[in-house]
Amino acid sequence: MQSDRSESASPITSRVQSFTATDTRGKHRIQAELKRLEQEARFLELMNEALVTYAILYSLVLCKITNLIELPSTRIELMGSSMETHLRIDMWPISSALVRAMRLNRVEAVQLRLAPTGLATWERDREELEQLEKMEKASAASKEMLSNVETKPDPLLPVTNGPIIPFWDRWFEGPQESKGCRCWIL
Amino acid sequence: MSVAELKERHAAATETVNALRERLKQKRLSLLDTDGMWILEIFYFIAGYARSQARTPVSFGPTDLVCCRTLQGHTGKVYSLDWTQEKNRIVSASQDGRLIVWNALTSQKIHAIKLPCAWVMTCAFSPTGQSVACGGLDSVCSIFNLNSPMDKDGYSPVSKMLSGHKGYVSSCQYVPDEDTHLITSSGDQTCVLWDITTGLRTSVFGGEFQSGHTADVLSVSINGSNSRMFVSGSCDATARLWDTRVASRAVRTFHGHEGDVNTVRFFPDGNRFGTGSDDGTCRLFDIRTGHQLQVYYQQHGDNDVPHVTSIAFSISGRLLFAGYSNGDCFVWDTLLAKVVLNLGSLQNSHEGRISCLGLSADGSALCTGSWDTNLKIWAFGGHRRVV
Repeated sequence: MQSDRSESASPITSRVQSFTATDTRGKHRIQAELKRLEQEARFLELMNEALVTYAILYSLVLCKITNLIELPSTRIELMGSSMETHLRIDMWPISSALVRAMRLNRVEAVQLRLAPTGLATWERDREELEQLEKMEKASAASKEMLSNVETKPDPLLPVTNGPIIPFWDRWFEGPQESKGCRCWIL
Repeated sequence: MSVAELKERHAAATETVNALRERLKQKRLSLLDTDGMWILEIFYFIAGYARSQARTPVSFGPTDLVCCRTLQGHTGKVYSLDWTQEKNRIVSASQDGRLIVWNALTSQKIHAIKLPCAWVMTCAFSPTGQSVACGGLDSVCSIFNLNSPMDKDGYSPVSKMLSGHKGYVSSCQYVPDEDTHLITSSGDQTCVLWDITTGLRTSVFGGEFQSGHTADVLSVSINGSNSRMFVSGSCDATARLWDTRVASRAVRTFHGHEGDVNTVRFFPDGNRFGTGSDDGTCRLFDIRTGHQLQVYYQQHGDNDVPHVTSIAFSISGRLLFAGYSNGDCFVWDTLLAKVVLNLGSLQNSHEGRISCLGLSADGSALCTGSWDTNLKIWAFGGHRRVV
């Protein structure tokens, strides 16, 4: 009987109940959507910050390769609007390495213009950055080797750093060929 | 900032990174030296950098590097040679079963040591020049004191026998400034640091229970700037850097070769080393970063690529001398990766495989040993210009 009674509850009450339930569900949906959007925004901010850092690193390496003169301030132009960016050590994920690289290479800053072309994936970026680091180290080794090699006197080179030591030419003084008997050793 | 704006910024930044990466790839490609190259993926870091700094290859005149001595006396293939740190003496080992100590200036023989085992593969002078070491298929490294008199059969008495290797002794080198310690490499896949005074092994590098070479070790080279570090080359196509204080595992393994690494030699500054391999290439590696800095390879018309048997650097490191199995001895400009001379094509050159190379202590002469039984000394006979 009670069940009958409940089933025959006034249509207004049931309508209100269903409306309240719908309203609650809608509220949750909106909150969840907001949370998702906030997370997406946070993620995008992080991604953007990282990409900007990547872009600076790429530009640094390009500057090194092309021997460009670094500009006095770090200026990043995003879609035409100019903004100053200060590199922070805690910038995710590679800014500390970047700052270290900048300090090592005495690069204070670099200008780069963002020009849209194509799409990149994180994995490829990471791989490329590893290669860049490798190239950076190899470039430093090359520079060091060049200066080492060119400053040391070498008696076998036609053009060499001084001083020339007369003793180098001892091979052309006195007997130069031994045609003596070799049977004593056999 | 709205999500839409952030997305827009993110897209722009992503595109920028991609564009920069493409530009970078183009730059890197422009640094590639593809002259006579067979693997285009290899980056010529040093050559690219040297060219970007407007460096030009070393230029030798026709009579600049000349053969000024031929040391004749061996009756078998010469396998190994070593210079003393002072004076002008060379020790050579031949498959005639003898070690000969030469006065390189006069071309005269100072000592001739008949070996108990004729199958000798390597020899080395001690830092003081008082003794010589040799090793070979008998798996023993024998030390001879040059001041000891010969016995009635003409043999010099062995002053110490370093036994312990389970395979042939392929290479040996005294620890710089110490007549009491020596490093050997062997076909048993290990290198050993020996205490010559006691005749015992101080350390074994690699082997059954350690992470070392996985095939015969063919060559060792001790770092002149830091004698605790040495490098080894092996039939496993790798070179490995070792610290004598840590025998359990190599400090670093260097990959890149596609054949046996026959020879390794430290660069004069001690921060790099060169290798020579059956794959026909010489390579330059950086010990601090582990990177391969350069490949030295000359394209050959036929498919038969000559093996690199031995290498040596000039005292500045600008020249790399590489001996090949076909009798060539290329002089490479290390900075530009170009062959600037072939000693094998000069007058009075060897008539067989170049098996060993060595530079005098002051860097003024190169000695080459060959299967033609001779050793030759090469020096600069042209007009030197000082900058």
